[in-house]
Amino acid sequence: MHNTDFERYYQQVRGRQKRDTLLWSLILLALYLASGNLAEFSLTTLWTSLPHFFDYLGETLPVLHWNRLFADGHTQGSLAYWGYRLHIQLPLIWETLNLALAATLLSVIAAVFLAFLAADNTHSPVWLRYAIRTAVAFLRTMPELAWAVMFVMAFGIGVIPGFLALALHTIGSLTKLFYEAIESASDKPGRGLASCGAGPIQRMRFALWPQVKPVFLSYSFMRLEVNFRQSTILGLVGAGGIGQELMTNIKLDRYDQVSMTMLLIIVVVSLLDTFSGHLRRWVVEGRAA
Amino acid sequence: MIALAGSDSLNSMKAKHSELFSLQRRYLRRLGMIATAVLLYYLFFFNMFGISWAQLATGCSQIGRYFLRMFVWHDVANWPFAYYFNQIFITLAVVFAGTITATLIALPLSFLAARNVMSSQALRPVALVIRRLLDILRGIDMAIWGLIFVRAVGMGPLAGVLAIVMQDVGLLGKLYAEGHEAVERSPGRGLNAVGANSLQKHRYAIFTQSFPAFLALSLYQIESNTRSAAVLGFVGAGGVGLVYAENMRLWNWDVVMFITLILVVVVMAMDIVSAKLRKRYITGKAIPLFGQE
Repeated sequence: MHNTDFERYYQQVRGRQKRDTLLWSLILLALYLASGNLAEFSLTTLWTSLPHFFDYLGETLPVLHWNRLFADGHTQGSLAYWGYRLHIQLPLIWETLNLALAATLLSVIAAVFLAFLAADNTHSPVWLRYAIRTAVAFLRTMPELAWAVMFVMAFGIGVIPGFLALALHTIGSLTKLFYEAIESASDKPGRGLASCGAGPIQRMRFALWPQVKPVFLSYSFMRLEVNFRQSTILGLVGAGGIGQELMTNIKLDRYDQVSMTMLLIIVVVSLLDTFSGHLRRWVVEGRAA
Repeated sequence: MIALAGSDSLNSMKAKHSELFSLQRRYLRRLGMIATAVLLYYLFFFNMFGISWAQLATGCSQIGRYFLRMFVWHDVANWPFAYYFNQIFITLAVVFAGTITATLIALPLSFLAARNVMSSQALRPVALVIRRLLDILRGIDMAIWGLIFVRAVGMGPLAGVLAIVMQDVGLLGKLYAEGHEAVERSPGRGLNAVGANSLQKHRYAIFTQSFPAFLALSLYQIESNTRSAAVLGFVGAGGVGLVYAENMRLWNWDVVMFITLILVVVVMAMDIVSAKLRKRYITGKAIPLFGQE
């Protein structure tokens, strides 16, 4: 039995889907080609430039000889020879880690207070709310390297400019995530407390805070992981950490040290990812009292 | 109503439910301990890496001056607006080209990295290797990739596109793979029963289900890259970061402020567009059922 009604209905739905797909594919393709054109990105440039990239990667590979792998630092081809700048690089990695941790801690504390002032269900004055929202939008849109350049110009080269830059940028992004979490919290506990005579501060502490605490914690850990990654680049403008070493190595063509530094960064970042994942599970789920 | 409970009955209540009342005290003690630990850590941090008070004071006055100059705009009529907007468009182009290319590369890789696609004994190691590769790509920041590509292929937006591709293949590949792994298994079994080959099974059983996640993640990534692509210019990989770097060196803090404001607007616009697209294509419009038109 052939159902013509159904056939027509099917063709109609199918046709609409096909039209949508075609339209979006065309728009995407046009956008892609236009942006590729503007960004000097095309198959031919890719074809000519990718070999350079692989050549470069090949050059950064260290020369290692099997029979001399564990010899002392003066023998070419040993592991110790490859890592001859480790006594400079390891303290820099330590600096980077401290930088990320200190910046994240400070900005979490600051963002919690700012978020409660900026959320629209905590009865803070309207002008204050909008002032904070505009300020944090500015803080997070200015790239962290721009902040870092600014602070390096003011305070000189060192860890403190990097710390300030990272902290400001993180305050910007965490405050937004936090106040959105507060706004999506249920208002029922707060109303219950208000009917028992609780003041605004008590309502925030006992009605909103228990609801948003797990969210805040998991966002903070996420940001800590992001910041470990970001802190590796602050050195590019002289704001402390391993980035400085990496940039000097790349600029001075110390090929084997480029690979050493990259290896250090990859190892440390992946170790920290694992560690912070465990810590997050422990704090957020284990002791969510 | 609170006064109803006199001090006597309150005391007896406290005696009766001592653990309930000690909860808050215990909480405060823990909070105090955490606060002390944080304080000690900062003492250590500033002791180790800190700067002298004199330096801090001059630095702060400098920062104050920079901010003052940010809000007083000089000579606006003579600014090269065409150049600024051109650089902003280049940044957007770099983001689009990079993210779309990364999407195209990451999609096949994500199938290779998903454990439920690579389920047979022989294919397991492939998934493991691809996962490690994605971890490495993701572990290095975009600016560092930019630095490497600038050295390898020369200055310009091409290095920026490649840097975004590198970082995003790592990120998106992993997230897509998680999307593929979270799908319902029954459609695959059904297709198996009617004789679909494995490619058809992946296309119609897995990808149909993980497509919304794929779309959401890609849109979100375009949005988040718009925010972070400004750093690429600092290392010479094209875009608006170059304008930042130039004008900071020239003490044109008013221009820095102007560019930041423009970027705030651009990012907000991207936010809105991407939220609209997500709503339209992930929540989707209901298809009218047969016979209800």
